[in-house]
This record gives sequence, C-alpha cells and structure tokens, in this order.
Amino acid sequence: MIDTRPLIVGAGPAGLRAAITLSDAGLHPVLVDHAPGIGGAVYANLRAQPNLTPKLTREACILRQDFERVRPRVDLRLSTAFAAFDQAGTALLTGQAGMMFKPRAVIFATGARERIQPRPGWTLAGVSSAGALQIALKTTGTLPLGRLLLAGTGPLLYAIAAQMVAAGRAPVAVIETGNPLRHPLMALRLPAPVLTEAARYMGRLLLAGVPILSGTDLTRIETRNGALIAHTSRQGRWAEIAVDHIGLHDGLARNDFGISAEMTGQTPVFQAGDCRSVLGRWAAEDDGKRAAEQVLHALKATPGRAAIAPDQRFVKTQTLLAKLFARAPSLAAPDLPDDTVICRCENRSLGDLKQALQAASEQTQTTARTLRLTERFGMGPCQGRQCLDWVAALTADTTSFADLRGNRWPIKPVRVRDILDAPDFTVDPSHQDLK
Amino acid sequence: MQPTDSYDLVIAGAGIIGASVAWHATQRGLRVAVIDAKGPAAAASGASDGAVSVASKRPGLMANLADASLCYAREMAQHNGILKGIFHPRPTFIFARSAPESAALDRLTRMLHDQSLSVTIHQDGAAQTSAISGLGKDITRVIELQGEAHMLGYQATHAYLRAAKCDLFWPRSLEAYEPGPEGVRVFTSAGEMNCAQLVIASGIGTMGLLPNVPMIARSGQLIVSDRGPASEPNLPGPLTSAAYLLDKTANGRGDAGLPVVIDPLHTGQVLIGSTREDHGTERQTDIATVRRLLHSAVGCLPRLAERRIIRVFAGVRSASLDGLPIVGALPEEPNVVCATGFEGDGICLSALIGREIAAHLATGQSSPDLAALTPGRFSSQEAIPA
Ligand SMILES: Cc1cc2nc3c(=O)[nH]c(=O)nc-3n(C[C@H](O)[C@H](O)[C@H](O)COP(=O)(O)OP(=O)(O)OC[C@H]3O[C@@H](n4cnc5c(N)ncnc54)[C@H](O)[C@@H]3O)c2cc1C
Ligand SMILES: Cc1cc2nc3c(=O)[nH]c(=O)nc-3n(C[C@H](O)[C@H](O)[C@H](O)COP(=O)(O)OP(=O)(O)OC[C@H]3O[C@@H](n4cnc5c(N)ncnc54)[C@H](O)[C@@H]3O)c2cc1C
Repeated sequence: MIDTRPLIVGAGPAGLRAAITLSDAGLHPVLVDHAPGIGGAVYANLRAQPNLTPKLTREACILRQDFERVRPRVDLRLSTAFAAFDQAGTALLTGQAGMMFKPRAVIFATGARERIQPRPGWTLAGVSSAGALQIALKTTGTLPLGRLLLAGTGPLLYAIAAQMVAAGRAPVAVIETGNPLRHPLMALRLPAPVLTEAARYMGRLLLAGVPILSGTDLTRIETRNGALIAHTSRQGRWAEIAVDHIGLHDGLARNDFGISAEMTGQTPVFQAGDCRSVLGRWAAEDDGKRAAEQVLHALKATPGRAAIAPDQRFVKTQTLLAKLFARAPSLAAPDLPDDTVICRCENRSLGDLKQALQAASEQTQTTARTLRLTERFGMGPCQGRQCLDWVAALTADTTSFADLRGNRWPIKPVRVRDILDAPDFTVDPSHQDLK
Repeated sequence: MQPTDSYDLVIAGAGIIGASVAWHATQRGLRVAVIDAKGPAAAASGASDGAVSVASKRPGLMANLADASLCYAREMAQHNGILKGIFHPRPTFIFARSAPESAALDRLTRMLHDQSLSVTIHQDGAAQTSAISGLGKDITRVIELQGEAHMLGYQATHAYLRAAKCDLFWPRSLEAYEPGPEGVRVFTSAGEMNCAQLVIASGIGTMGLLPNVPMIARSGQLIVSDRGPASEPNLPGPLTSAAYLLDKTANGRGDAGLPVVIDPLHTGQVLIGSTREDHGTERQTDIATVRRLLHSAVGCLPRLAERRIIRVFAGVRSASLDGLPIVGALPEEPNVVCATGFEGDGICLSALIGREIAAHLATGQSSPDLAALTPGRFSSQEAIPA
C-alpha cells in the first residue's frame, strides 16, 4: 500500500494541536519530532526524565490530555527527523522511525530558532545558546557547573533566568542590550497573561538579587585563567565579568530554514506556529488548529477555512514586545572587529566577507553563488543557520536570504545509513528495489 | 580601466569556458568584456564535479582533446601559472562490478595505449590489491590511473577572470546581436555594446540565442557529505564505476550498475555523483534518485554509510545531439564564435578550448583539431531530429 497520510513536522503546541484537529476529523496523521518526547520548545518538560516531576502549566496539561485522547489515531514518531521533501511529493524521515512516503498534505510546525549575534569570542568553549541551557534544564534538570551568565536580548532571556533561579542556579547577571524597563507605560499595554508572566519572572529575579544590566552590550568574550571574561559596555563605560558559562540569546526567528514554498510541488503544504510567525505559545496552538483546518479544506475532508491571517491580538503583542526591546542603534555586525568569526563551520570572518564585497565593482555584483562557493558562507554542516542572517543583512542590496539559502535538502545533515535504512512506502512494497 | 562600449571582443557567459577564453584573449592583447546574465560560475561551472579526466572520454577525438587539455592545464598549474593551486594532479580509480564493466576497463586500457595518451595505468587488479582499503565486496577489479587531475569549475573561473585584464559586467544578459561589416552590435539587458567579435559561451543559455544549434539540457544530481572523522583516511582520488564509460559508448550500459563517482574534496568531504537526466532543470533533485546513488556508493565503499549528507544539488549540462562540443565561428557569421555543448566535459576541456578560441580570434586561423566541432555541422542537415 502506498502511504499518503498527512504529515505534521514538530510536536510542539502547534503540531500537537494540528494533530488533535486532524484526528478529530477522522484522519490518521503522522506526527514526527526529532526530540525524544512531545512538547516542543516551551513544553519541553513534557518529555522530562522520569525522576523529575516538573510543574506543568494548566495549558500544558490540557494540551497533553487532548493529545492523549487522540493518541491511538496518531502515528507519533519521536527521535525521528524530517529530512527532506521533494518535488515528486516524497517526504523523507530519518532516525528511530524513519521512512519515505508521499503525504497528501504537510504541516510544518517546526517552531522558532534562536538568533545569536556573532561577537568576538562567541565560539569559545563554555559559550552556548541560552535556549540550549534551558532545554537541558527542562529535560534533565541540570545545568553546566560554575558561574552562569545570560546575555543578549528579548523576553525569553528573563524566562530562562527565572527558570535557573527556580532550579537553584541563579545566573550572575542578565545582560540586556535593550532597555525594556524604560517604558513602563508601553509595557502596560501588553495583554494580561503576558504581563502576569513577565511580572512573575521579574519578581523571581529581583528576589534572588540577579542584576539585570539593561542597555548593556556584551561586546567580547575571552578566556583568562580558565574562566570566561565577558566584556560589557554601557554608554561607553566598560566592565568585565568573570564566569564559567555564558548563554547567548538575541531573539527568535522562524525556524523555516530549508522549508521553502518551492519545495512543495503539488502537495498542499502549510506552516503553523512559530515556524510561520513568531507569535508565542498561545498563538501557536491556535495556529496549529487553523493549519489543520486548512489541510481539511484542501483535502476536501470538511468545509474548513481557506485563507487565514494571523490573529491580530498576537501580532500586536509581538510588535509591542519588539518595540520594548528595541535598542538604538542596534549592535550591528559592521561595528564588530574584522576578525569576528561569522561562520563557525568554515571559520569565515567578518573581514573575509567585507573583502569579498569590496572585490565587487560598480559593474559586477557579488552574487549569492560567489558568497557560497568561493567564500564558503553557509556551506558547512549548519547549512548557514547561524551565519546567513548576518551575511544577508550585510549584503542586502545584492543578495537575499532566499538566494543564499537556496532550495537544497536535507534540511539538516543526515547520515547516509539513515537515508538507506528508511523503509520506502512511496511504492508498492512488492515493487521495492533499490537497484 | 574605464569601461567603454567598444571592444575587440565581447564574451557572453562567465562560466569556465567564457572565463578561459577571456584570459587567453587578453594574453594576446585583445580588449575584452565579459558579460553574464547572473554572475561568474552561475550555471554548470558552479554546479559540477571537477574531474579533469581522459579515461571517461569517448575513444578518438574526444580522448585526444581531453588529453591535450589535461597536458596544457598541467603546464598552467606549474611555475606560478594561472591554475596553480587550482589544478590538482591525483590518481583515478576505476572499478568494475560485472563482466560488461570489466570489458569496458579492457577497452579503456586499449584506448590509452592505442592513442598514446599521457594518462597511464599504474595498477590493474583485484580490489584487494588496490591502494584503497575497505572496498565493497561487489567490486571485482580496479584500475588505478596516473596523470589525471581535479579542478573545481568555480575556482578556475574566478582565477581566469581575476587575472584577465578585462571589463566584467553582471547581471547583464546577451539578448540579440547584429553582425555588420565593422563588427558586431551586441544588444544586452543593460544597453548596446559594440565589438569586432562576439563569443557566445552561454552554456545552456545558448539554446535561446542560437536556435539553429540543437542542444539538450541534461541535468545531474550531486551529493555533498560532511568532513567525516579525522581518523578516516580520505580517498587519494576519485572512485569511478566503469559504468560511466559504458554510458558513453553506443550500446549504453545495458544492465550494468548505476554509474557512480565518489570524489574526495580537499576539505575531507566527498562529492557523490551524478545522474544524467534529460529533464534539464537545475532545481530538481529527488529523494528516490539520491537514495539509489547513495546505495550504489555505499556498495562501493561501505564506510560512506557513516557520513552525513549536507546537501544535494543539481546542475545542467548542455549536450549536443552528437555528443561533441559545439565550437567555432557560425556558418554565415564569421565574427560570431560559439562555444558550448560540453556536456560533462567542460571543466576538462576548458583550458584547451580557451587557448584555441583566443588563437582563432587573434589570428583568424583555427586549429584543424577543432574542425569537427564546428557549429556548421548542424546546418547542413535537412531536419534536426528531436
Ligand atoms: C530555545 C527556545 C526556548 C523557548 N522557551 C520558551 C519558554 O520558556 N516560554 C515560552 O513561552 N516560550 C518559549 N519559547 C518560544 C516557544 O518556542 C513558542 O512560543 C512555542 O513553543 C511555539 O510552539 P510551536 O509549536 O510553534 O514550536 P515548538 O514548540 O518550538 O515546537 C517545534 C518542534 O519541532 C521540532 N522540529 C523542528 N525541526 C524538526 C525537524 N526537522 N524534524 C523533526 N522535528 C523538528 C522540534 O524538536 C520541536 O519539538 C522558546 C523558544 C525556543 C526556540
Ligand atoms: C552534475 C555535473 C557534473 C559535472 N562534472 C564534470 C566533471 O567532473 N568534469 C568536467 O570536465 N565537466 C563536468 N561537468 C560539465 C561542466 O560543468 C560543464 O561542461 C562546464 O561547466 C560548462 O561550462 P560553460 O562555461 O560552457 O557553461 P556554464 O558554466 O553553464 O556557463 C554559462 C554562463 O552563461 C551565462 N548565460 C546564459 N545565458 C546568457 C545570456 N543570454 N547572456 C549572458 N550570459 C548568459 C550563465 O549565467 C552562465 O554563467 C559536470 C556538469 C554537471 C552538471
């Protein structure tokens, strides 16, 4: 039998809600996540180790209950990555429960990815993303030993800091590029649940005496006597903080890397949750439901909704948050020293990039292909997840992010063995033949 | 240099062929402009492997041309020559898994001998005796060749363009031209240019420009791996299935295995390729085909199973109907020279073709070796087979 069940990629709030909605309509979706459990980024504690008894929010509990109800109808494939989708309509899943099949419809609910601004020293051992620390905390209950520092910008930084405090590992400080506390009146226009949550986090940080250094840039990291030295700058005043581990976070972006409209061929494909628009966890569930309704409509299973616009409430909230955290002028890549590594996979620096751009003249532009092939940006195993945002920003007048990223798969590197091992359900099994 | 609108030579196409012509022509003192619809190495030259291979050529003319180009490129890689650090000599390993493939190796041996080519057989024997350890059990015979090389198309393209003292323009495409007594008027997307002679080296783009020159767009998918563990020795040279040779013979490869090449890159990565598909789009890569290629590659070299694939891409070869490149002045238009149809051999032939076209442009004399490649060979036909 040729397998054509609809595919949902990502078992966070958006993907879970989409699976629930499709199942309630009588479909049997395939739900895949490369994490070992459901919950996504925000409810990662749904997959915590058994000896942890994490406190789940009310929303998380409801979501889990609803999912348990439809669970028998969902083909849940954990520790399994979505690797590729081609114009022939074939999807490739690799890992524990890999397979090749031809889904009738696809919903990408792959969430958000963290942005990390390159700074001198950001590639040193002991420096990671703040989100990576949080995932470790939520799923294993542990954090790296020693003094912790969080730096960057955005609301998530405070959530993570507060979670660290709750785990008894308060960070030495939170270094915030923006100045969100400067505009209390503006902040009051945020919806109540957001405000409540923010107040809770802030309260916890205040009680624990964690300094929040706002309007401050982490400009450089170096190692000295076995410690990491964070150099900060606030309105021209410099300071140093010695720590053992630094978590960086410069906001969230859609995790739609490698998922382009072009890859879709004939199959209806939708995006949901933070993968479509970074609007937070409340919006994500809502959006998952609506993406599922779109699939039902496309498959003519029910008279679902056709076109959707993101819920304006959530959009307003995010716009306001962006304003609160805005910093002028923002620490931009051109201000960094030329030897700052931009692409850590291929070890290419800002200076390399500038030189490549200078080589162009009025008559010739530096093309995306030259930046990739000759300059090697985006060609390493991270496929440009880290560097292409910055390369695109610096080359905005000649190339676009889409040109730089291209339309290549797999969307993440996959082992050859995993590709070969995935059973093929795109053809009748009696005709399967690799030769 | 201030760009002007009048040149000895305008070259449409900044692929490896246009770039090589540009450099060779400026060496002869011609004033040259290169235009490209997109940019340097924007098409096949930036989406290919870089085998400078004689063994894979059809016996006769193609093998001779490839050998001449190989020897010349080797020269240009020495003594601070233009291809230094770009053209890398290395051994080539061609293997057989079946009787037809082994017969192809016998024919190859005869060709290298009969045509007295510069490429020689270093070793020929069972898989166990080859310099590559850990070969798959299906491999029955391996020939190791000496004298061939690797050269990445985009690196050579950039090297030629950087060294050529000429004007470069992109994005700018050739839209039409009008030969006249004083030269050629060239109409581009960014205005008109004038030149004594025009070279159309636009790869598959030549199709739209010269409808009387019949071509096929033949695409190929390529797979790039990660670097692999530091402990793992990289291959000393490419591992090529003899099925590739069969592809080029009149009988085709029949039931021989899927042709596969496993080509080591300097970074420690490997490039696995490639298919020949007549749909001709560079956007199309598909999971089923890639899996077949990988299956074949792992059969040849089982340790590849542990590598990770970073990306898959496709390039389009511009093929001619008779399998020979299309090089030379157009039949009724002596000031317009065409250079395309290199299919899977353009990287290999680029050195020689650039030199010969530049000589032709500068002196008006063309090499008798290239006579068989003239675009005129198609206009004599009554009807062009589809
Ligand atoms: C690191 C991080 C930490 C966050 N922490 C918080 C927080 O504490 N509080 C909060 O309110 N918001 C947090 N957010 C924001 C939060 O992600 C969103 O509000 C919400 O989780 C969005 O839900 P979603 O379903 O769209 O995506 P997510 O919850 O992010 O779920 C996406 C899922 O897709 C999976 N996935 C992605 N790519 C693939 C693939 N190729 N193959 C298989 N599976 C794949 C991921 O493993 C993940 O489980 C965080 C975001 C990030 C990136
Ligand atoms: C998958 C694959 C593997 C290969 N492996 C090998 C190999 O191992 N060894 C080997 O020797 N060869 C190989 N080849 C073949 C080789 O890549 C080509 O033969 C060679 O690159 C052709 O170069 P070119 O300059 O003729 O054309 P191209 O590189 O295609 O350049 C043509 C240029 O013309 C431009 N152009 C098009 N139309 C116009 C216009 N109207 N005006 C202005 N500019 C225009 C394009 O933008 C492009 O930059 C391979 C090819 C593929 C696809």
